[in-house]
Amino acid sequence: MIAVTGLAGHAFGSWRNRETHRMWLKDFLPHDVKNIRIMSYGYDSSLLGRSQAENRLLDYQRLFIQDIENARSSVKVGVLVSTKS
Amino acid sequence: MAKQILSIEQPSHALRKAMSQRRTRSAAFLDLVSTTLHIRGRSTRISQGGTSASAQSSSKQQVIDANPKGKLKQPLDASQLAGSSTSVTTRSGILAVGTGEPRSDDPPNSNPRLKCFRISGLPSSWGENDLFDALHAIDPCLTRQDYQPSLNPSCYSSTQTALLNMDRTEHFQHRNHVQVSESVSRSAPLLTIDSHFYNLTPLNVPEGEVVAELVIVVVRAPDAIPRC
Repeated sequence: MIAVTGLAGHAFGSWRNRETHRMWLKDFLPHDVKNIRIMSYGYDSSLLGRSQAENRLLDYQRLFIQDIENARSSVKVGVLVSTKS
Repeated sequence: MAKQILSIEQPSHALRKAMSQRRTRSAAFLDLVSTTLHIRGRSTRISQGGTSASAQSSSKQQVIDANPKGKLKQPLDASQLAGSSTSVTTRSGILAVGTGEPRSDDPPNSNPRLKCFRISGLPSSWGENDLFDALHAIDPCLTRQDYQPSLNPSCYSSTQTALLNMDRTEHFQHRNHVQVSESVSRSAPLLTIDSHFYNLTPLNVPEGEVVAELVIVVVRAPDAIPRC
């Protein structure tokens, strides 16, 4: 399971509670769902500031797919898409 | 078996309609990812124990609301996930994740200055004590109380990746690479420290045989994206 936060998000901080510092994918999900490998994916997509990202969406897509191919094992791959609208 | 735990369903009508009407950059990104993996338009829901959507709807659910001000909403905390039948669902019913048991070790209100670091390149033979020795050589004031790492197998190699919450950041936040001295470890590994978490980060140690890999793409800040 790879969790990908939205643009300008943080691969760890976006999933973490600011007060308890508990991270949903790390501290809770592994206890409830076994037999999965949980990962988060981070990418530089800062919208403001000096470190403003210059990648295009196609660049993000290519890098993401490449990282998955580098990391994946031989088991099935599926896609779960979630939007917040 | 994870096969029994995870069920895959078709995307909701609301999602299809939203993505066709609002061609935002985020929607285009999701399309690109889905198309490349040749699994476009597939599953949008995880449910535990193979329960159906209707069964899930009868249980207690937490809805992630879109923030009208465009501010990122807090991730779910322990209290939100506590309970025997709590699930997480987006407004369009896209993502639901199973139950969260109450954790007795949840800190009531931890140090707000805590920052999480990712330390990559740990030898597979290392344990928490080995990592502590290496970090203690960088910051001699580091104590066991500051130190509660989780070590997980790396996504890319046979090494390990550690996640470590620390409020003592001054010795680590500007270091990218740390060469461990031979006095600490004979293998003298080169550790990589960062807090940006770019690329893949392992978050757990899989138990048993991994039977499926899934990708969750979550767009959490739609208002940060200019609408076309």
